Amino acid sequence: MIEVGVTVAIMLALMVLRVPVFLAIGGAAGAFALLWAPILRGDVLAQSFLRGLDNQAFAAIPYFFAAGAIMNAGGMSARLLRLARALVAHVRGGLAHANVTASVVFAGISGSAVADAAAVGSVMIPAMERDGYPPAYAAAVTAASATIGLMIPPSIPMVIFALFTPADVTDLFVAGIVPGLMMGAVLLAASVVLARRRGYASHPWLGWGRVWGALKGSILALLMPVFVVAGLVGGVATVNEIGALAAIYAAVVTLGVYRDVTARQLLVALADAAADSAKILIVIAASGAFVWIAARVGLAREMAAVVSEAQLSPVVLLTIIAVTLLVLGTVLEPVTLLIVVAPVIAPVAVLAGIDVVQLGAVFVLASAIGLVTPPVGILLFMTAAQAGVPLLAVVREVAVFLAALVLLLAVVVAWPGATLGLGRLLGL
Amino acid sequence: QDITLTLGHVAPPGSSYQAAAERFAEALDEASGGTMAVDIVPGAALGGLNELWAQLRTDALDLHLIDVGGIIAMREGRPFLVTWAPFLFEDQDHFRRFARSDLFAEMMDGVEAETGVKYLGYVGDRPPRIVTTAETPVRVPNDLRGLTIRTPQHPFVIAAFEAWGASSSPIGAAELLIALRTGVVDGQDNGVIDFVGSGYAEANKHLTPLDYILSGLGLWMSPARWEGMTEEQKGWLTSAAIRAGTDGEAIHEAEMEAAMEALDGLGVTVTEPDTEAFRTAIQPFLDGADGTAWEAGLYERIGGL
Amino acid sequence: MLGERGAANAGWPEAARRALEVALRAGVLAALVALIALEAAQVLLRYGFGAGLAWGRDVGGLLLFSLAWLGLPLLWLKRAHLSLSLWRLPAGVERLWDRAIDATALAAGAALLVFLLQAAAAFRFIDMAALGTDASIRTWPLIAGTCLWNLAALLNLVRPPEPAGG
Ligand code: NA
Ligand code: NA
Repeated sequence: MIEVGVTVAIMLALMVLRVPVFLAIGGAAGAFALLWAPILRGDVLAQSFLRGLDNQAFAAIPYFFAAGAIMNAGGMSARLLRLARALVAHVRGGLAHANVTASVVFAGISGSAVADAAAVGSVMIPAMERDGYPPAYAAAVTAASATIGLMIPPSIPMVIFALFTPADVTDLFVAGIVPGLMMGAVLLAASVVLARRRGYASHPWLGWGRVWGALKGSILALLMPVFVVAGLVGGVATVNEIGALAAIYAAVVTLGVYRDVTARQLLVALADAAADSAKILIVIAASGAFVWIAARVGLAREMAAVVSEAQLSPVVLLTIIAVTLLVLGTVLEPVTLLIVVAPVIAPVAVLAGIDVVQLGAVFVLASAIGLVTPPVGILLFMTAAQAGVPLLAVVREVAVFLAALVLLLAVVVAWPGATLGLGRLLGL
Repeated sequence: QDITLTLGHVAPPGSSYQAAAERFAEALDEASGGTMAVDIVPGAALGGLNELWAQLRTDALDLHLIDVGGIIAMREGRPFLVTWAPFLFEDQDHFRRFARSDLFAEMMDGVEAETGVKYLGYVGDRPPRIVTTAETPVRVPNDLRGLTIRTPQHPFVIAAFEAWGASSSPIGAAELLIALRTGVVDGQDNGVIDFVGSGYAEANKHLTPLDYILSGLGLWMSPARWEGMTEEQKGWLTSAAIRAGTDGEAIHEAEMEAAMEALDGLGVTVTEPDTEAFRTAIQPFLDGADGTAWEAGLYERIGGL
Repeated sequence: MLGERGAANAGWPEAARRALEVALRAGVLAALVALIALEAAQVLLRYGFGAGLAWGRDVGGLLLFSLAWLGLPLLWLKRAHLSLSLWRLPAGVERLWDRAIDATALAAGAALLVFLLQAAAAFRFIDMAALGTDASIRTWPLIAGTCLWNLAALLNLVRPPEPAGG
């Protein structure tokens, strides 16, 4: 256990020193190999990097990145935003509500919150500023609602959680739907209350004709999340296959129907998606060394012994896990958090009687919240830059949304039905 | 404990691999009077099949537990290709006789000499391979005609199913349940315990205990670790492996019986095969393989044990 | 356009940088497109013919390794890897710090390369039946990616300080 403690400490120290995550993990494993020779030999360390990524299911990550990137490049984002505005812009604070609504829809298309914030923020933050919203508020709404992207399928953190634990990725995807929609609801509620109190602007209602037009324009994009969920629930294809087909569907719609972009622009978007997915895949490869070390020193066994001695009830244990994740999430982003923590905690939690699918939902929700907590919140950094305001101003504005999300996390921890109910209803 | 050995295997913690590893650990603890312990790492956490063989022969791993047929992953393990030949063994007892025969020892001596790894013994049985289908009761090869069956991608297995008139599909394990559910493949081949445990009975209602390939679990030790043992310790190790194997026999029979009994509750109909007809259909393949895929006459010699 | 002229003036290191980045981008793009095509082909074969590709899994694995390990040098060139930015430094110190990380990468990459070659040797006895070769082929994307990572770190180290606005 002491070996793992020292190794993790070295890893965290390297991360704080701004060494890239994959190198911090690999370097810490290298330090373990030197300090506790000959347990882990150099050639076995190299094998563990190969082994880390040796599961075809990880290919789902680039597939969903590709599908989201093509959708965004191909003008589908503009169409979906038009629809969101046509639906809710006439309510007081309408553009803020449209921002949240658009994020819910985007969540069903892309697997990454950063991609969602980029697509929604680039259009909505300037539009909200023109409408008289404080730019920091526009940034905060965008950042908070982009976290929904990790809960509603497809979700890259859920793919990662499923691959590092006994959870089935289809079950996890289905488990994320209800909490994801609930996130949309609580954020919308917060947005409505703030709009009333602060007297934000509303737009004239442009009629159902406008809604109908926007719906027609975006129906092919809206069908994608429907296909994804139906394909999963119907059990006709694996998550990987659905990811690849979604990417192809997006390409066909973009090039064949919408025709907003050239094939060349599409390839540029795909190359960006490939690089973005490599960012995550290389961390997963490096984590193979941690999996090896943890297995070799029997970490899960020792952790399980500690936890079973403490005799915690599942809810108490899950609460402890959620709080730990929130604390770690203030500095670690979701992928790192999941890869480093999930393989260690999951076996212990399952032994203690926690459903692994509910655990996965708690993991992903808690780590998604970490995207909007200072000091390190990637979505805060992104939207603050988009809005051209200081980070601190966005942090202040995001606080109320953050509180709403933490409240929702408490609900998901205390009530298994929120995550497991839909799956049971569908007989999965 | 004075010595702790690390044992790696690729199967999940709840598997027959794990049970065999635990039997061995217990037997070794007893034989050595508590001076030797085994640290079992299941679930391919130390590496997959390839990595575990590589780590074993380069002394990075102490013990590797795997299906005896799994040794063919190493180039030097080729002589054991014959154990994949259909209908080589009558029943599990026949396989056990083979595993404890001089012929087996002679074959394994060759692999040991070339790779340096030390074979400790036969530590457990594996369920024989059966065939299941969605709608067709399979009694004779002709019943398989026109069906698509998911099988392991071993050339012998593919050749056998082709000889029986079926086509062999290489669909991956991850996609198999979907393929069965949607009728993309008509059936699959597996051990009955795995069939019951995996939920395939949802889509496959007919089972034929064809028992055409039988196997068991072997245990290997790394070259340097073995050389570093005293003669007494070497004796404990091999006797513990033998204990694990013999203690496992009754457990294996009980598990097989339980799985066969569970079939009824799953609504699966069992059809006894006309084994002779299946064997006759693949005789041309066996004749062709004799002397090319394996040493001429080896199939006969093992068959006669 | 200004950036490009600046690059031309900077001489061969900048040209090499650009060539490497273009090649790596093409590499990860090709790997991604091939992965998607392979997955789609397998769905098609399964539903159309109840068949599959015996080599599909092995080739898919090699493509996934290639995507990750060619992405490694690409992201290193652009300093775009996942990392923690807890604090900010003055620009001059920041540049020095980045160089220190590049130098660390160079050392780590060299060590990893040795270990990977050892691992490749250990895999030479393992058959990869579906591809008709031995399992050391699986280490090739890692070896290639690590070599290119060293090159990327080297190019980062020799890069002159960027001119203002460049
Ligand atoms: Na999503
Ligand atoms: Na954070």
